[in-house]
Amino acid sequence: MQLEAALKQLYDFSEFRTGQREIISDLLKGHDVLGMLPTGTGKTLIYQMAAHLLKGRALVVSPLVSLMQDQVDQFKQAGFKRTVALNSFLTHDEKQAILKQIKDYQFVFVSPEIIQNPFIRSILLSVEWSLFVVDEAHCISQWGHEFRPFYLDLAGMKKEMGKPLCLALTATATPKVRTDILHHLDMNDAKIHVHSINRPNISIFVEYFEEYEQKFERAMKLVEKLKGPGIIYTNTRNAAEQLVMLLQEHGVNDVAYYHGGMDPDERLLVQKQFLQSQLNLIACTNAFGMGINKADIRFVIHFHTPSSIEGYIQEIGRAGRDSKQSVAILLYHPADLEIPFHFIDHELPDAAQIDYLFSDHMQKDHHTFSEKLQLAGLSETGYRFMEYHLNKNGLLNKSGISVDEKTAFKLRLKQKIEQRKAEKIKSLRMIETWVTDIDCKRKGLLNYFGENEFEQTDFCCSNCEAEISFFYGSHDQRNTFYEHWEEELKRLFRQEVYKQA
Amino acid sequence: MDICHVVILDVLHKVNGSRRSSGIYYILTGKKTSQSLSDSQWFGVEHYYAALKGLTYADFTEKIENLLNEKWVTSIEDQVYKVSRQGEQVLLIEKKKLSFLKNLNGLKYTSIESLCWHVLTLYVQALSNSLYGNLEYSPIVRDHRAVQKVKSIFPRSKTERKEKAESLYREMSQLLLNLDRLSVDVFVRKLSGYNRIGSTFEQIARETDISQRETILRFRSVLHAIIYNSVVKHQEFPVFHSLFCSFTDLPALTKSALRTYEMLNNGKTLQQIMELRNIKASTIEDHLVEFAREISEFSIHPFIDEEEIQEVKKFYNSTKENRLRPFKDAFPHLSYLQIRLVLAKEGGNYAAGSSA
Ligand SMILES: Nc1ncnc2c1ncn2[C@@H]1O[C@H](COP(=O)(O)OP(=O)(O)OP(=O)(O)O)[C@@H](O)[C@H]1O
Ligand SMILES: [Mg+2]
Ligand SMILES: [Zn+2]
Repeated sequence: MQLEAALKQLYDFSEFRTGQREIISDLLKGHDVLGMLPTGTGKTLIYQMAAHLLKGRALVVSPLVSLMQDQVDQFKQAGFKRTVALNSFLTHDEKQAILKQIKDYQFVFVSPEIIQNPFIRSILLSVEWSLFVVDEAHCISQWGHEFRPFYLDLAGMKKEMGKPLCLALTATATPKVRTDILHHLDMNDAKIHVHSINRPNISIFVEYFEEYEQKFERAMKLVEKLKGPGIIYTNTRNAAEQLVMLLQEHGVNDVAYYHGGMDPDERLLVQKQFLQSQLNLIACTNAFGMGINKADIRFVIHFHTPSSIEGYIQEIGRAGRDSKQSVAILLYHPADLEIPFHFIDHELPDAAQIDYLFSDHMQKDHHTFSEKLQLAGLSETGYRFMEYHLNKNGLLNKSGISVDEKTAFKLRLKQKIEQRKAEKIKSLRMIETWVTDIDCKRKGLLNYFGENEFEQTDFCCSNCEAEISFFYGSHDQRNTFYEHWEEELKRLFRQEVYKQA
Repeated sequence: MDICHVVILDVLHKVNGSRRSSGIYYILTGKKTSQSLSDSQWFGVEHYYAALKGLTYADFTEKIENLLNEKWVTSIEDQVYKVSRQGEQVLLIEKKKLSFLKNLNGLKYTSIESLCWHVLTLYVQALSNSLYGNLEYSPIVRDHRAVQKVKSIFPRSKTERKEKAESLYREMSQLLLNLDRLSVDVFVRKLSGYNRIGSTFEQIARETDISQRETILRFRSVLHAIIYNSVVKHQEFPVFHSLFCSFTDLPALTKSALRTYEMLNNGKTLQQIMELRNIKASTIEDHLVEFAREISEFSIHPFIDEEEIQEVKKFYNSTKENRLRPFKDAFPHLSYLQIRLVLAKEGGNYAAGSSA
């Protein structure tokens, strides 16, 4: 009962959501925990509260470098002011300033890559930690959809930290991935809390199109009819921009696109506008996915089929985080998966890039492999992959390699790459099968995660004859009443009492 | 008419065939070489420095093609253009419509404008929200330096916040009332505060029906005017001054040059600096030219006699020559560095005089 009181006091929530209470209580008893809870249930609250009640410091590993600062903002807004993020976006001076005061923080978010830096690591290790949190823990497994090689070294970090309490969290781990998490994090005695990935308040629709162009018409119609706010996911930046242009041409103005190629200042504005409901719709790539938390998103449209079932679940998981009824609609065209198939070939380093990195010409210039990597023209994933393997083999800060070593290393790399590619292709095949299947959509998703039973829900899916019109409605128009600059200045600085809409 | 055309035309006009178009491209996109830095001053186009940041070279040449097609410029040599009579007339008319362009101060402020803007917009957002009692807003600026700055000057008490809001409101309206309406409108739409997150350039461009490039230029012209006034009229604009002074007080030098400057001030010799920092003589020379241009207290007398300075100036006045080579031919005993120092030190004045 004490826990409920703390929940009320800290957050003003009246009850725990599925799984939260049990996990917190196990942590307080001193057990490591692997928690799998559906998207949007409140995994963040678990480690916030646990660290608070343990009166200790928590190190939180998260792969979402670009969203880390948002998480920090949200912590601060929730009253946990002593929160900070350490990642590659910071300048040298900023990092120094944070590290100097590391003792004063209660929550420190880090990327798995940054704790490889010996200096940063040594500072982190100089203070005591009560909780080691691995968020989005599926990234540790190469069978997971977002494999991040540096997650594999977290067990080492944990050990050096003196084995604090360890909490691994994810929304999307298949049984195989869960085994991997426990194994790689060295969590042999952990309590395991696995809940259904099901989000009963999200209805699932899949629609099929023969002509790619028809999807645009359909998307426009849906946006016009559905009650917002909403998100449209696309596979490419271009498609996101194109959709927004079309919508604006049709007089829909409270929309914007969001993707990794934008100016960071402008991107942040778009994100905040959306979170504040100044925008009703955002069209984006999956750069706006995992971790994004806005309570009242009513619909998620997939303009293209995503490249894995896990990714799909993460993305539709942005909807209905306030537990209200919401809808996910996927617009499928057989050519959708061509782009992700193409990505697979380009994401990981190819033979030519690897040869380049180890060519004799490159050997001569005395640069370290770490420096040469920058020149090899790799994708972000490819870069991370190479960085990890070079580091693991102690090569990252060297500039040369013997002929024998080179041959063996190159061979190993190529095997790893082939293995990864095969996995990715399998993922694509799986989602393709799911999309085209005529069985209950929800059941298909649950089966994929090894679940065989679930409660029948209302408005289940397009194959259970749910009606999309149920989700129609007009969104609450939010007036941002910008009329004239002089008025707006007065309003901003509250120079007169202003009528509020 | 596309604003890029006007800007390019204006610069071509001022340069008057003394530079290739690539040199003009570097000025307009704000390339940090001593050549484009001193050129922009030399030709009196320093306000346009970095005006078209981000423009690709292909786009730039296309714009020049357009100007040629309109017969507003003529090509006098490969890649060298002069503005035609017809072009001059067009320019005159267009510039009247775009009076905000004169408020740009690119050479002076490109290096600090984004930091200044971050401080201003975050300060306004924080202040506005606190005035309405909303302490849980989510900051729209991530830039650590700006966050620190705002934290360090943010008024602590409610009364103080009210006072600051009133003063800032007064300063802002006073300043904005003297600028053109459209630019001011763009600027205020970009601000964030209670209940409203500022708009992106793209949104503003759509809402005000002007091109994105023009939106950005109008925004920057207002920002530059604010920074400028915070310096020269700091008594009239104390809040603006308090926001920007730690950035405007620093000379606008490249990072590397700033280090050299600090070391010089700490009593190191040029030789020592070259050794300590492992940099070449030519780099140090570029730094010296930067000092001559940016720092009014920096004297070039240790490098060249007053008499010779006067000779070089005289030569410039009689020839209106803008290239280094003829100077070198006329003064074979002077080094390129010496000539460049004089031109950098005096450049602004001369160029301004020549365009009148
Ligand atoms: N017990 C609760 N009662 C009501 N709301 C809650 C409760 N716990 C958490 N929430 C809210 O649920 C929302 C989602 O939480 P959070 O972002 O932690 O989800 P998550 O499980 O990490 O999801 P994801 O896997 O998508 O990252 C937050 O807005 C949070 O305030
Ligand atoms: Mg989460
Ligand atoms: Zn169903």
